[in-house]
Amino acid sequence: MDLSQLLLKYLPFAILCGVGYFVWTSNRRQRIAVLLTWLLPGAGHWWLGHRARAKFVAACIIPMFFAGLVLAEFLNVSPLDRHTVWGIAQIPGGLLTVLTWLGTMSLKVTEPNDLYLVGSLYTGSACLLNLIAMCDVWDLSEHAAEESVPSQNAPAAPSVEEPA
Amino acid sequence: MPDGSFFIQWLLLLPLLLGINLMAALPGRSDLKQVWRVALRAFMSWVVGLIGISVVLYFVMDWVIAGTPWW
Repeated sequence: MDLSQLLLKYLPFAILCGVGYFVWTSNRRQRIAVLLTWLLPGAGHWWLGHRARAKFVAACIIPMFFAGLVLAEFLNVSPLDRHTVWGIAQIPGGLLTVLTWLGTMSLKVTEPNDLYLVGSLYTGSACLLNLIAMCDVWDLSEHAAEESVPSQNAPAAPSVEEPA
Repeated sequence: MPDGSFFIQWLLLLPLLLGINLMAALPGRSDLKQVWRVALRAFMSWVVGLIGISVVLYFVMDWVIAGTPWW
């Protein structure tokens, strides 16, 4: 059994475990923020109010994704028939991956492209970097939740009695 | 000397490396200027390191290939 078969066999189980752990340990705000970031890089940051950070994330990931598409002549996002391992790397791309897959499904390989693997590397890296953005938005929304809800262990504010 | 496609592929990896460093510098830093600073420093270190390793490997392999086989 080679590496791609091994990944295909056990990765869905690992992803399910990861998603289950995420749902178990997160609050509602984190779930929405991470889901939005998965759908579109930067959307979760935007939703949390970190607008500059959202633009930064989107400007890093989305052009990289499309640069990969152009280098590979729009043939590299195809998780089920060409290069399944790259398809696995493209899962964190979310909506970008799904829309590109649906849009380029009908294209056929007509001639060899020397830059196909470089393009796949770009697109796969962009999607995997979205994982970092998801971790970042998870962290930011956790801190935001901590700031908005006072800790139960925090000492109560001393009551000041008004002098008669 | 390495051919043109080698240099094209090498140059194509640089923007990718910059993007990876930018995103890797993001978590845990609230100031985006600091993110840029850290990412550019890491990018320069990577580029210098990769060029150094590539040049050393090129000459080592050239020397190995030019010599008489050991067997």
